[in-house]
Amino acid sequence: MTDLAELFELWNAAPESFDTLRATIRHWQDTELQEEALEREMSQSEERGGSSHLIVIGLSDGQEPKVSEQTIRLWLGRPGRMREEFEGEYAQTRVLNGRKLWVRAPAIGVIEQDVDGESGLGGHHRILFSPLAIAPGAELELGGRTTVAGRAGITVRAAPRTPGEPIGLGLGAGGADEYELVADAERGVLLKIECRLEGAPFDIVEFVEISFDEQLDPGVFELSLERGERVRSHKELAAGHEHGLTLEEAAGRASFRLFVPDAVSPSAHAMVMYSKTQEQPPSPERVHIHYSDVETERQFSLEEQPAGTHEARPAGFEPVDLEGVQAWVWAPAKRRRFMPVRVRLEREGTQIELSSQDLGRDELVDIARRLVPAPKPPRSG
Amino acid sequence: MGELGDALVAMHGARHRFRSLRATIREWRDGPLSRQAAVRFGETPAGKQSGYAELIDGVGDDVREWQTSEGAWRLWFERPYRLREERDESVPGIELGIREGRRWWMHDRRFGSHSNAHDLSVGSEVGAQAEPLLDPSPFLGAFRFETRGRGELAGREAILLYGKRRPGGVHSLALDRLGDEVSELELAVDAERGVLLRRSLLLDERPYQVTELVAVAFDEPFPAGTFAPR
Repeated sequence: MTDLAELFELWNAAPESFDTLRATIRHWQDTELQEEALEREMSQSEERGGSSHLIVIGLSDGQEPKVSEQTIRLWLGRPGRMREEFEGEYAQTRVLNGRKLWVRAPAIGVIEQDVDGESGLGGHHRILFSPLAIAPGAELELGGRTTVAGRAGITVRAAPRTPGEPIGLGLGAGGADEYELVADAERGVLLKIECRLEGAPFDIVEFVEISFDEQLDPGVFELSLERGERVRSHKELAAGHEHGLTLEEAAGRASFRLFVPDAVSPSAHAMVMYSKTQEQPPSPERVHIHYSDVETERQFSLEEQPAGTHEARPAGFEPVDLEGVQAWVWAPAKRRRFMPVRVRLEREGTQIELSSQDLGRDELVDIARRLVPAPKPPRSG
Repeated sequence: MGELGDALVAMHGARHRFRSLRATIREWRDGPLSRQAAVRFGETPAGKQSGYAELIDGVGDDVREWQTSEGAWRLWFERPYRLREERDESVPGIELGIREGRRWWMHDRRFGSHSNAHDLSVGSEVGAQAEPLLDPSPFLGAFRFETRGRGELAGREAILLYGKRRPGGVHSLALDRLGDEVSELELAVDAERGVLLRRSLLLDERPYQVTELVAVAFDEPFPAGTFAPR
């Protein structure tokens, strides 16, 4: 390969360059550096006049590991067949066969859903098989030859065309100022993507084993149920959650006392959700209230559940006294500004956690101090 | 090195291959065939899921929506981002649009004059129709291309490409503006500059919407006031 034109021809044909594929992928991440890169991307976007908002979900009380590594086994078959097995802490199996997708994960069991069948081949890693999709956002430069997973590859150095602009590699790659790509010299698919910040890698996806056009056992694209397992629909998974409630309705449904701020801005709107206790995924009865202010564009949330569900004093939180009520506060370091400030407290048998990416520590603590029992609906009859 | 690779690289590098551009652009639309393309997409699972099918049902057989039309517009563009567009009455859209970076001003025959001078975060469609012609790189990856030879348009050498949309995966503002219903297209790529000299949206290889440069000049100096609001 001598120039970009040959590479682009190869990449143009890459998604259709095989009928079946069996592979093992290694995904390595330096989560601290990744956060720093993401933070930089958001700042650069704002400097260009854009706005950025990152929704953080699934906050854990424990310390996140600085470095993580996951192994993924992947099988692809045309038309529209895929199996992905994610190993490690977030183990999951996903099987796609035509318009049906099954997902098995320890917390949720087996879920079946209909998909439109047009979602492209490759699941979470489809960019590896559609490398030309990276080109619009990147300046590219050919490098030397190398070998990945026993296959001859061509190194390609990529840089974002506009600093802070995503280049189609997904959120995990956000904020990289340089990428090293390795393209399979025969098929064009990407054998490796290494995202770097100032020369240091923070996210690497690479094949450790790959073979094309093998005869695959059709059973790979079916999900065999294990003993005691049953398939649930998306509808069943969502059962027990009620959206769009009023505060009074949520207070009426909850078996625990619900607390709300004594006053909020007239331009603030509350979205309220009530969830029953669930076995799969294991989840306590809870009420989630999300306030968003259309004028100030600031938001904060309350998550309430029976006391004792989580640690009252999570690691890394600082104590704060709310006039006799003990609360615990966690505020992100300056460079982690997209992480929410969190305030946790217990009142009258209810554990309450307030969180916000927009409000400062003191503002959120002040709201926690001003919580009052929510009004309940009048009894009928 | 093949024609296909040349064309793809030219499309990718268009932003580096000219400093300014002045063009007259012909816009043509086959109403009944456009309707057929829309209805066909509406019948796909993706069309049903996205609510597109209901949208098309809502428009129904309204002949005004599905009229065959033809008209011209003129474009002036200078890097890093100064743009002027003027449309004839027969072409839908803004009559006169001016943009400099994030700042824009427009005059619409129905809605009058507007600008975002008060708040630069307010966006508009000024320049939206020109952008994929000036920088066609968003089409890369979203379509599988093959060459259809060479041709000449507006006195310039073009490489002709036929592209079939790939399912799923690739999204960008430019592709969103193109529309989900576009499943195939033909591009005439300026072999030297990488801009699109023609973009034809196709249904079963028949064009139903064509945007074509009938005159184009690169790297000219523009008279003062070209990018000034009226």
